[in-house]
Amino acid sequence: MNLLLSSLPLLLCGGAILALRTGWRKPAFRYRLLMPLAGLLLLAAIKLWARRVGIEFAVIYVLLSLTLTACLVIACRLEFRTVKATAPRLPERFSDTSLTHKLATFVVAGPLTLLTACLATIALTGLLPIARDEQLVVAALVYPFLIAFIIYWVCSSAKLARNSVFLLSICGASGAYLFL
Amino acid sequence: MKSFISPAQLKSSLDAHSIIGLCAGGLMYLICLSGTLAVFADYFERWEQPLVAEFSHYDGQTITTAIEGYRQRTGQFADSLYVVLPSDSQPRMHVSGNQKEWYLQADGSLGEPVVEGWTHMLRKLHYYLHLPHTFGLLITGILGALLLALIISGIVAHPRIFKDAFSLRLGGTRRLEQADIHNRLSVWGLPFHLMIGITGAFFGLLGPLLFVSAAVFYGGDRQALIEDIYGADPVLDAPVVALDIARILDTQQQRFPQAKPIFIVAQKLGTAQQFVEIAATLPGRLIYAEMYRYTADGQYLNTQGLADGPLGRQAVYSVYRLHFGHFGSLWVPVVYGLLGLALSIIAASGINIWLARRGGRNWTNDVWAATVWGLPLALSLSAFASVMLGLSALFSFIATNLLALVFCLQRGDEQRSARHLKAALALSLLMLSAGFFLRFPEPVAQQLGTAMALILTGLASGILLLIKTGRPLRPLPNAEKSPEKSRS
Repeated sequence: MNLLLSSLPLLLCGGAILALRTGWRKPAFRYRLLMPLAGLLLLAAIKLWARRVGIEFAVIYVLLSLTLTACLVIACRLEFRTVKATAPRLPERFSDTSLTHKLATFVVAGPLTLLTACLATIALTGLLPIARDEQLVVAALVYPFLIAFIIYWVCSSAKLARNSVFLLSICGASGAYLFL
Repeated sequence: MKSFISPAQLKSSLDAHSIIGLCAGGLMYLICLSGTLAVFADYFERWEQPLVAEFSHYDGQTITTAIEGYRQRTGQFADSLYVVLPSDSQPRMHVSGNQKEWYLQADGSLGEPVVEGWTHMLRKLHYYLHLPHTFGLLITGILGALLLALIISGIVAHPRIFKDAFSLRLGGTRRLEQADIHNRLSVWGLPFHLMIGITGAFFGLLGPLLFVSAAVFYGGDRQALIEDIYGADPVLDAPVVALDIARILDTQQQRFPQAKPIFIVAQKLGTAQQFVEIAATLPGRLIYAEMYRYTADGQYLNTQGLADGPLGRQAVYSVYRLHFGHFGSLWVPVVYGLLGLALSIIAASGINIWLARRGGRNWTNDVWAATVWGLPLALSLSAFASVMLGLSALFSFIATNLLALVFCLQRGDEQRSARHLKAALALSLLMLSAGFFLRFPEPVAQQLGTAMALILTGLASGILLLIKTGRPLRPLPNAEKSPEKSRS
């Protein structure tokens, strides 16, 4: 009985994944009903686990179980294609020009991104109506995201000069706001 | 369904994903692989020094003996003297301070010193990449942020990634196969990857943030800022009295019966400012620990407020357990290990996709084969060299990596090189499991050795299976022509 109770949330997660798998991208109404059912099963799993280990762990356990059960479901329905060998061929003229430019973009924008994100995060979170220590904690959690977004933006754009100027402006403005 | 992103935006997102992945791929793989193993660091430490006394019971006398033993051995008290208590993953005690550390016997007397061996090398590799600490931590933090950037660009660049969430097709061309593995593991591991990326970046990027914040808001006083976030130490000025750990433990048990002590810190012993902290986990809480403060003679002072203080402080103190999976039962580290391995495979398959799309081959294929299979081989051989032969783990690790690199470059055939490195890895894992019993024939070490041997043998079998079921090798250049043709 105890074993059943402890493994019930795991079974619910498995059920949610199976429901998702069954109804995945199927337009019929009965299949679409499976999506909210999967959500309900997950909520039930969180609720059950929360009673045993607290809500903080319950959410993590459900996320981890979801990943594992999904991987199991996928592994069970593994498809095999005939292996095709890729012909060993060297491009006629393998040039690194484009890649070099991209690498330069990344290297140039890297340190600037770090500095800009740091100053902008502190400046922006400083405006939040919460205590100073809370502002810093928010900043610590926002900082990686801001870096990630800026790096993505810089790397996905071809206009390196424009982006650098923009970042420098933000960096300068934030620095001036903080230090002057 | 109409896509909200234009083809041009898709292409630029894919470019961004490729470029970030290419720049970070090797280091990302190293961090993920070392992190996967670092989750089990407690178990590796036990395996590395299997003759250390293991027990779970202790009392005030045990700790007092340990602290006195430390003073006698070093001639002084450390400013902060730690006595780490037995836990489920490490049922042994040790005392440490001022970079000196000893395991304890069951009665609290000092046992053998804690060896900074392979596990220590592994941890340093994951935390700092063996670079100077500040710089290394910054690099690993940036890699955490890059993982987030890869997640964002990956989702934007692959609109079909969620549509195909349940289909995995192996075989076909190498690019399609690698892309399927990469995308499936990425989609379903997304919550875990976000969690690891955010928490990893948090550790590494906190330094520059604190530096600038201290300069702006605290007149350059970093300590004041840290105390504001984490809470300040109590400032005492009382006559020096003898340490009464038994009373402190009794009071702790009476006042906070639910808290489970994990370590005890004796602060500034022998001075008017001396006090004792008990770090304890609380049921249902993710925070690393709450710190309960006592005077040396056992009077309760306060807590640091990590469990019930400001929300931000609680969040900051929850990051460590979340990143390293140090909570719950044994299955949590196991799941973290599996998902960490999946993240390593994602890092490797990302570069594999790029190499397959590029077509042809040059030295980068060899370098990548050396990275993907040379790193685990280097970790395994360095463990053998350190634990079995007593050599430097870091030196063996670097030397094996260099040898693998030279081997792959000299071979000039990444498929065959990878196959040989895999075989060498399987062999080294088997050597490691067998070598343990030769190095530690004592009966007390057999249980740990057997458990680890089973795991290592399982891993070796998995790798051998991978070799057997792997894609067929390309014919060697000189085998493409038949003997008859070459003769004519």
